[in-house]
Formats: sequence, structure tokens, C-alpha cells
Amino acid sequence: MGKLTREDILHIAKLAHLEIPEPDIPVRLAQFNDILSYVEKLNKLNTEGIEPTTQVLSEKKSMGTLLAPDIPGDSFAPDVAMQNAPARQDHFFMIPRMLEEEN
Amino acid sequence: MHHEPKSCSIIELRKMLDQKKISASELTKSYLDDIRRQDPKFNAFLTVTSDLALSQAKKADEQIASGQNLSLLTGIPLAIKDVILVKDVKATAGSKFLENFVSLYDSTVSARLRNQGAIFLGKTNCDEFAMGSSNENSAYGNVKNPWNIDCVPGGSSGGSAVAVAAFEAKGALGTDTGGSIRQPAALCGIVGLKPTYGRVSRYGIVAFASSLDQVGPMARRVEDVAAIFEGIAGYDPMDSTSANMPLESVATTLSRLDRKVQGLRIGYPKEYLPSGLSPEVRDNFFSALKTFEKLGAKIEEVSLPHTDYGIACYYIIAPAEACANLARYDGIRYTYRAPEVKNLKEVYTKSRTHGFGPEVKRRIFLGTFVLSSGYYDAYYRKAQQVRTLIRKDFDEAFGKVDVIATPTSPTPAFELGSKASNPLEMYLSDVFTVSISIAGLPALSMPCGFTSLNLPLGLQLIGKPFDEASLLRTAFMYESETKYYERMPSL
Repeated sequence: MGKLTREDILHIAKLAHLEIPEPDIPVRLAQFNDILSYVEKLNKLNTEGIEPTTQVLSEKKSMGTLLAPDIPGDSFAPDVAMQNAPARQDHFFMIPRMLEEEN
Repeated sequence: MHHEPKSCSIIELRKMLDQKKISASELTKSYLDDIRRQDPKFNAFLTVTSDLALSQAKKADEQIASGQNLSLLTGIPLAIKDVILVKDVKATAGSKFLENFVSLYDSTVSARLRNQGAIFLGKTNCDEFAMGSSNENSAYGNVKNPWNIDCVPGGSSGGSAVAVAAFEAKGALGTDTGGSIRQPAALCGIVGLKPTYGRVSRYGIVAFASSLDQVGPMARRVEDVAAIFEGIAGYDPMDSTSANMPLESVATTLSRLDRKVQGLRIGYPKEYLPSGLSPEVRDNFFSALKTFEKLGAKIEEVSLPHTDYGIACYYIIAPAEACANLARYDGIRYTYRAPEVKNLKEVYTKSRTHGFGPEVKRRIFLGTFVLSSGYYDAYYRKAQQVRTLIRKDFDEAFGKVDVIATPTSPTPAFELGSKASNPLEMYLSDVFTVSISIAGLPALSMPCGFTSLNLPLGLQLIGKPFDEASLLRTAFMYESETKYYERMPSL
């Protein structure tokens, strides 16, 4: 696969909504490339025609896809449901303004 | 001493409670006192739920007095790993991100234990979001191994393992994604069971890798693990991956526990005894096999040819699932938001950057990368195909043997800080446990001896899917013969 570069690492950070402080980049990059070159040992295996396993349970054992009975049940009061929000107003999550004001 | 409530089994303790030799309230107070006195040394508990425990104990005493609604766990004090939700109690998952998070509801396992009259002493320390093998990734400090406080307890369920090993709880719940129950159980000299994937509900568990995560019991004795396992196992409509498979009752399992292992076929995979393995671990393992042979089991070598690919496969699949699960921590819903954020993008990025610790971020990175455009087939799909090959290895081996035995961990407890700067080396300490998770099989770790430095060593027994009962019986027979639980750390 070849080694990842500084640009690759910054691109992944952006996708993951994470920042890497500038001084940490070399160490992170080295650790990351170490791990990647280790996991690339999988390429030694010929997996042509092998079905991927996404889930170990067969449909039979896991009950497959079930639909819940269409009966209203108890649910949390809005105050309870939102008790862990870092910022809220009434029954809304608060976030900083998203749209710029017109100058 | 024989009937010391803290060293006897849960079944013996239940008898003492029923015979009014001790009350659940006295027992609970005694545990809470010991936690208060000695846990600062070990840091096993993140939250001690004294009020909840005492009120549950009072109720248990009333039930015992009336003889009504008793279960095997009525009045038994337990500790719960902090990734498992208990209603109205904090659940930090070892993360700064969830420092102030209070659970709105009980996980299915907590609700089941609560309904059976178990007592919740508190929530135990763990690696952040259950990611780690030493408990050093907790945002709330290291946990110390009671056998040697300069050593790690293993992870990620290190707090649960230490709570049990240091007699601060009768038993505990842990979670296991790649070895997080079995490895700390081994390093702390206790018994830990990772049930078959789908056997125990994951509803109300802080998710790490959803196709691998399982909740399981940890305790000092095999029969204790059997009792807690029965208390939490079984179909749950709240978890779409919960299996509806028959479950042997603990009474049945225990009633058959004294059967000889005559004719039981135990396989040991040669790939789990690499040439670099320490002679102490190897010798100890072979002497465990000799014990089984003496008990009447047939021992044979088996092969799991894809063992060497287990870690690589796991460290693609688990981070991929983790990065998806951890996307929910956005700075909006789950208690933590970085201060002084100017716009929505900063709410996400700064909250995640400051809220997550280094190992969690490393795995989010890895997961994001292997799922990213252009790399998915090369890494994620490839790993899932290798997952199929690893499962087939086990299917074939279980055509020949009933139980597979391996060492649980290539080393005993290692020194705090000794692997902290090398993530890959830390990952390799899961080499004997990850493949079992990948295959979704049940496995148990139990003490099988000690090193020359008096550190416990663990034996891993692996079973066929949904056959925890055979695993528990096999373990019980070995335990009855060896009684390693009689050796205790000096506290």
C-alpha cells in the first residue's frame, strides 16, 4: 500500500472531525504507519471467492429482522431525554450560530 | 475461615444469607467499608453507589426474611464496569467525554441483576471506551494489580478484575471485545467468561465494536461465574443481535459439575505456543493439560492455521466499527462540549479532540482510514474475508475436539508504563484472545498457576457456539482439582 504521508493523516483527521496538533504529527504518522504495515500481512492471504463475515450469528439464531409490535409504549419525558445535553434551551439542543449574518 | 463470606462461593454465601448467619446489609456495609479503606490504593472503582447498594441490601434482607422471590443472586454484592448503564448512576466509560453523563435507563443486564436482588456496589474503572489491554487508557488514572501494585491489572475490564481479586466485590460484570474480560481475569488470578456473541444483551452498553462486544461475568470461582452468567444471559428483544437459543439453567449446569471429564476431548492449537513464548507460560500450560489428562480427558494437538492473522484482522474490524459508534460523541448530546467554540464545526472537532484520549483517537483514525474511499476493499473487506477463514479454522477444530485450551495471555501482568509508548506492542498482548472474539465463540479464563514472581497465569478454554455449559463444567473440574482460588494476594 505504501506509507501514508502527512497530507493523508491530515485528510483522515478532517474526515474524523479530529485535530492533530502540529508537533504530534511525526509521532502519530510513525505509529500509524507501523500499525498499517503490520495489518498489511493480511495481503499474504489469497481471499478470492471468500465470503466476508459481517455478522457471526446466522439469521436463524439472531431472529433475523423483527418488527416491533405497533403499540405505543412509555418513553422519556423531554426533560429527562435531554438531561445530558451540554447546552439546551427548552426542549432543543443549543449550538453556536451556523449561518453567517449578512454584513 | 471456611465460611468467610468474602472468600466463599456465591452459592455458599447465599446459604449463609438464608440461614441468617449474615444479613445482606451487614455484608454490603462490610464491602463498602473495604472499598473506602483500601480502594484508593487500587483505583478499581470510579463511582461507589453506597446509597443504592444499602437500599438494595435492605430490600434483599426483606425478601430473604419473607422467603419470597429469591434468586441465586439475591443479596450478592457486585461491581459493574463503567461502560454498562445503571439507571441514575454515572457512566463515564473511562472517558473524559462522559465525565458527567448520568444513565437515563438500566441496561438489560443491570435490570436483570436488579430484578434478581443483586446489590450494585459501584462502577469500575476501565480503559476509555473499553479500548486497551492494561487499563492505562482510562481518563481517571491507572488501576493497580493487587498481586503487585507496580503491575497493570490488564484491560479493558481492569477495574472489575481488581474489585474481585482484592475482595472489594463478590463478582463483577465486564465487557469483552477482543479479550477485555479474559486477559484482566488472567492477570489478576480470577475467572472471567466471555459468552458466545448474541448470548447476553448489549442493550444499554456503551458501544465499542458492535459485531464483537459481549458482556460477561468475572468472579473468583467458576460456580460464581456460572451463577452471574445465568443471571444476565438470554434473549432480549431490545438487542437485534440477541440470540434466541436454549440456555441450560445454572442448577442443571451445577448439578452436573461433578461429572468426570472422562472422554472429553481437549485440543491445544500449536499456533498458540510460538517458539518465543516464555518457558514459564508454556510449562504451566502443559501442566494444566496434564491435569486434564489425569482427570480423564483426551488431549490432542489441533491446528488453527490463520491464528497469525488474528490481530491484523481485529485491528481493522474493531476500529472500523468503533469509529462509526463513536461518531455520536459530537459535543451536542453527550455532556461534553469543548469551551469557547465559535461555530458548529468547532463544536465537533474541538470537543472530540479534547474529549477523547490518545488511544481512542488512534482507533478512530485507523477506523476512518480503513473505511475511507479507495481503501475499503483493501482493508475492511479483506479483514472480513479473513474473519471467515478464522471462523472456519475453529469450525474444523471443533469437528475433532469438544474444548480448545490455550494460555490466555502470552505474559503475566506487566509493569505499568512498560508498553504505553508502543501501541502496536500493546495490541500484540491480545494475540491469544482476539481470534475467539472474531469467531464469536464463548471462552473463559481461569487461574492455572503462578510465576516465580508470584504473578497469576491464566488458562483459556474455548467452546462451541452457545455451549457455555460445557465450558463451565470443564473449568469447574479443573478448579476442583487445582483450587488456585485458595491462593490470595496479600492486601
